[in-house]
Amino acid sequence: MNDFRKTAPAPLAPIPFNLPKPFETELENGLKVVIIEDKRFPLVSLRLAFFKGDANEPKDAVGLNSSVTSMLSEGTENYSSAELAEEIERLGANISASSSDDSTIIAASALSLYTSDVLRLLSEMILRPTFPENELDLYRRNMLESLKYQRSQSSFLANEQTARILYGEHPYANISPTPADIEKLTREKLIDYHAKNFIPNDAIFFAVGNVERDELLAELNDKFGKWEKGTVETKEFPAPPERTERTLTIVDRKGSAQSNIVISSLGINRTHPDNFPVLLMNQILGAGASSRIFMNIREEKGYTYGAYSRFDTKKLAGEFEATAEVRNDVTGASLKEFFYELNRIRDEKVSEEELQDAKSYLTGVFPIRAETQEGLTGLIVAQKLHGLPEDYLQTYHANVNAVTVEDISRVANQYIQPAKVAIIIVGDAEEILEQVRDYSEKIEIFDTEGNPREIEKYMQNETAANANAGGNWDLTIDFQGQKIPVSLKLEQDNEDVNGKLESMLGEGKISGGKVRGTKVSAVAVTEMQGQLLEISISGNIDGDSISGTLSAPVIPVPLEFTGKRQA
Amino acid sequence: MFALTFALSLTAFGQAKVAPLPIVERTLANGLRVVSVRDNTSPTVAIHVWYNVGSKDDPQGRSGFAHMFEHMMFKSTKNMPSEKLDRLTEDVGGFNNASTWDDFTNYYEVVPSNYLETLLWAESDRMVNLEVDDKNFNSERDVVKEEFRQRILSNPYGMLFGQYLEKLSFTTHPYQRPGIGNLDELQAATPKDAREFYKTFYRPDNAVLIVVGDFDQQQFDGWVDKYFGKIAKPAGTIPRVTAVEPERTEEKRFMKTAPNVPFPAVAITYLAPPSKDPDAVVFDVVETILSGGESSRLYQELVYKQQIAQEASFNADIRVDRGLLYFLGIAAEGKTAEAIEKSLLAELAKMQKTFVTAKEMEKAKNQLIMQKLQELETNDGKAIAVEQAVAYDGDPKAVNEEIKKLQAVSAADIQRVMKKYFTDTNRVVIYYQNEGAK
Repeated sequence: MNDFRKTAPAPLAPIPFNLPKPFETELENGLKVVIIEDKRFPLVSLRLAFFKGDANEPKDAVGLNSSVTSMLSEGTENYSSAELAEEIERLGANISASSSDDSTIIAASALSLYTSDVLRLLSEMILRPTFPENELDLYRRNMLESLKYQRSQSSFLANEQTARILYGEHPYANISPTPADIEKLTREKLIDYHAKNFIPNDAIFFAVGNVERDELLAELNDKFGKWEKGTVETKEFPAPPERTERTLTIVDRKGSAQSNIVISSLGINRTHPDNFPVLLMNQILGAGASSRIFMNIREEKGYTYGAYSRFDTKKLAGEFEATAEVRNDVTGASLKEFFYELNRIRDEKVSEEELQDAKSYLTGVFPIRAETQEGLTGLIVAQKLHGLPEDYLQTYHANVNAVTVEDISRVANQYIQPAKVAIIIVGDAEEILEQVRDYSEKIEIFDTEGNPREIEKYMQNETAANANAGGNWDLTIDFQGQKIPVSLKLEQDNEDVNGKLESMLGEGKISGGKVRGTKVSAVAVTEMQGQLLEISISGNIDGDSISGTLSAPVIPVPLEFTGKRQA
Repeated sequence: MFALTFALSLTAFGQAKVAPLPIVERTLANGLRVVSVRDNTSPTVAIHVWYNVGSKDDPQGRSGFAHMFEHMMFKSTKNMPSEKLDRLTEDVGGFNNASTWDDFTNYYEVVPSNYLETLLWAESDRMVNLEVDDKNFNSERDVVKEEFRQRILSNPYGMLFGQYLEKLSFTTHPYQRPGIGNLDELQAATPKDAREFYKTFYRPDNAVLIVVGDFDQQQFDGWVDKYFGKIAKPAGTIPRVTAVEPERTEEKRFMKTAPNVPFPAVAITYLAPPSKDPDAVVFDVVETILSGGESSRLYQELVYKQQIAQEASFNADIRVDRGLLYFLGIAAEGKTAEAIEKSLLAELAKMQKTFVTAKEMEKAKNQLIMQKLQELETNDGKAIAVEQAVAYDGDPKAVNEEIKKLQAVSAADIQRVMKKYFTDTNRVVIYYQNEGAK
C-alpha cells in the first residue's frame, strides 16, 4: 500500500533561472555603470571595479597595486582612518577593498536608504585618499609580519613555485611582494600610482538592489562626475613558457609532517571556448568530494584529508592544478594515484551517469549562489570584468547541459598532459626524494627562502647506517635570545621512533617518527586550548649531541634547538 | 557636514520597510502544521521540519539525549540507507543539516526547486520510518561523547559556558541541564531509550513543516497530502515541561575552577523575560549597544580604556520560558575577576541611570536591521525566520512584525527594562579560574 515510500520520486524538469537584465550606461568621464533594480529588500550592494589588478604593477614595484588598494580606507581629505571606520559602523554598512591579478574591487553593502551616504564614503576613498605617512608605516609593519608568516605555510611555498614555473616572465608569476618590495614603498609612489591607474575610464560601477535608476545616476554624477579621465595604458606581457617535459621541484621544508603536492600545467583563460567542457571534465576529475581524485586518494586510500583538482582561469591565461597534502611516507604512492586518474580521464570515456551527476551539481549550485544580492552581484561583476558574453549567465544552464562524453575526452586529452606537467612538492626533501625521483628526469630543490640547493646533499644519507636516537634528551630552544628548556624522550626500534616531547606547549606524544642516517624526524601531537597541535621535530644526531628545529603552524618561523643526551 | 547627515539619517531611519512574507498555513488531519511561503525569484527551495522537542525535554537521567537523538535522524530508515539525505542534497548542489535547541529541534535542506518532492519524500520517511539499530546508536553515542570532550573538556572555558552557567543559574526549570549533557548520562543512554523518544516526540502533531521558495502551491499541497497526510496520528499525549523557574530573592555567589584556565573569568546572570513578553525585543537593542562591535560600551570601557578584560559582553539568551540575561568577562593578563565584576556592574548602573544616546540607538538599530534583512534574503533565511517565529511567538506571521517591533524600541524602554530585570538581589555571580589558583 505504501509503495510510494520505497524509492525516491524523480525530480521535475529543472526550472530555468531567469536573471534580471541589467541597465547599462556610461558617465561622461567614461565610468561604465551597471544597475539592477531589485526591490525585494531595502538593501543595496555596490561595487566599483577597475579592469586592472596586481598584474598591472611595474616590474620593479610588486605589491604597489595591493598596497594602494588596502590604504584607500586609511585616511582621505575629509576623514581620518578612525572616522571612516566609525561612520561605516554607524550606518550598519560593510565596505571592503581587495585586488587580484586582473582586477581591483571596492565593495559595499548597506541599507538602501543609506545609498547616498555610502556613495559619499566610497567617493572619498576612491577619489581623495591621502595615504598618510603614519598609516603607511603601520601598513608596512603589518605586511612584513604577514609576509614572514606566509613563508611558514607550505601552501604558500607551493603556490609561489607553481606560479614561477608556469608563468616565467609573465606577471602572473608573482603571487606576493617580498619584504624588499614592501620596504621600497613610499607615499609618493602610492600617490603617483593611484593618480595614473584609479581612473574612471578604466572602471565599472555596479549597483544591485533597492535603487531608483535615475536617482542613482544623479547621485553618481554628483559624486563621481568630476573624477578626471586618465590615459588607459595597455601593457604587453611576455607569453608564459611552453612546457616540453615533466619537471619535479621540491621545496625542502625540514621537519614537515606532510608533503604538499601540486601537479600543474597551463590551462585556459576565462573566455576560452572550451570553458564549459573543461568545467564538466574537472567536476568529474577532482572539483568536489564526489569527484574521482577525492574518492580515490581520500576515501579509498586514506592518504589525505582532501585531494582536488581545479582550473584557475584568469584573464590572459590559466592553470590546471591537482593538489593534496599527504603524509610523508605516502608521497610517492599519492603521485602514483594522481597520475592514474590523470591518465584514466584521458584514456577512457567517462560514463553518462558521471556526466549527468556533474551537470546536476553545476546547474543546481548556480541559483543557490545567486540567491542573495551579494551573490548575484558577484556573478555579474565577474561576467563584466572577464568580458564574458552578454548572455553568459542566462545561457549557463544550457551550456552546461550541452557538453557530451566526447567533449570531455577531447578536452581531457588537450589540457591534461601528464608527460608535461610540473610537479611541485613542499616537504622534507630527505624524507621524500627517494619516493618521487622516478617521476622526472629534471629535478630541482629549493630551500624555503627560494635559494637553490644541490640535490646530491639530500642523497648522502641513504647509505649511511642509522644513528642511535634513543634516550632522554635535554634540549634548549633559542627563542629571540631567551633559552627555553624542552625535554625529548625517544625509544628507537630500527628506523622507527616513538616517545614524547615536553615543552611550554604541554606534553606531546610522538609516534611514527623515523631515523634516516643521522637525521631524526618526528611529529609530537599535543593539545592546546582544545585544538590538536602538531609540533614537527627535525634533528641531526652527532654522538650524544643533537641540533635541529621545532616547527608548528602557530609559530611563524621554525625554532632552533641544540641538546645533549642524558648519561 | 556631520551634523547635517546625522539629522537626515535619523529621519530616514523609519523608512526601512520590507514587504511581508506571504504566509500560507494549514493543518493536516493528523495534526501536522504546514507553513509555506512562495517566492519564485530564485529556482531554489528551503525545507525545514521543526519538532517541538528540545534539550529541556531530555528524559530524566538522560541529559544530552535530545541532541544525541538528532544525530540518529541521519541514519537508516525502512526505505533509506544511512546518510541518504546527504546524497539527495549535496550531489545536486544543495546542503542539509539539523540543530538541537533548548526548546526545539530542526532539520533542514536547501536544493534546486525541482527536487522539492524528493526531499518531502525523505523528510516524511524519517518522520515515521526511522530504524534505530544498536550499531548505529553506539557509534553515534561515541561521536557525541567526542563532541562533549572537544567542546567542554578541551576548551578552558568550556565548563563555564557549557555547564556551570546553566547549572548554577536555574534552580527548578530543566534549562538547568545543559543541552550537550554529560559523559555519564550519555553513556547510560540505550537504543531502547531512542526508540521510546522517537515514538513520544517525533509525530506529525508535534511538528511544523516549513517550505519557502519556488513551487506551485497546488502541486505542493498534493505532495504534502501524499507523503505526510498518510502518516497516522498517534494516540497518547505529548509530555510537556510545566516547571516554572521561581523569581530570585537573593544574590548567590559561586567560585568554580577547571584545569588550564589561563585567565580568570566572571559571569553575572539574571532571569530573562519569556520570548512572548514584549520586553524581549528590547534586549536585542541592549545587547548591541553593550557589546555589538568595537565601538560598543563594554568593549570601549573594559577592553580599550580600562584594559582589565580581553573580552566583555552582554548576552540576551531569550527562550520560550524564562531564559538568561548575562554579563561575561575574561580578565586581561594580571587583572582580576573582582575588577571586571565591579566595572560590569558600573556599566549596568549607567544604563539604569541615564538614557542611551540617540546616536547609539541609531547605530544599534541600523546594525540589527541590516542583519535581519540580510538573513531574509535567501529562502533558507526566510524559513529560519519563520521557524523562530513559530518557536518563540507561537505564530509564523510574527516574522512580519519583527522589524517594526525593533524600530519601536525607545531609550525610555531600555531604561525601564534595565531597572526591572536587574537588581542587587536577583543576580547569580560565578567566578571561574584555574584549578589550584589562590
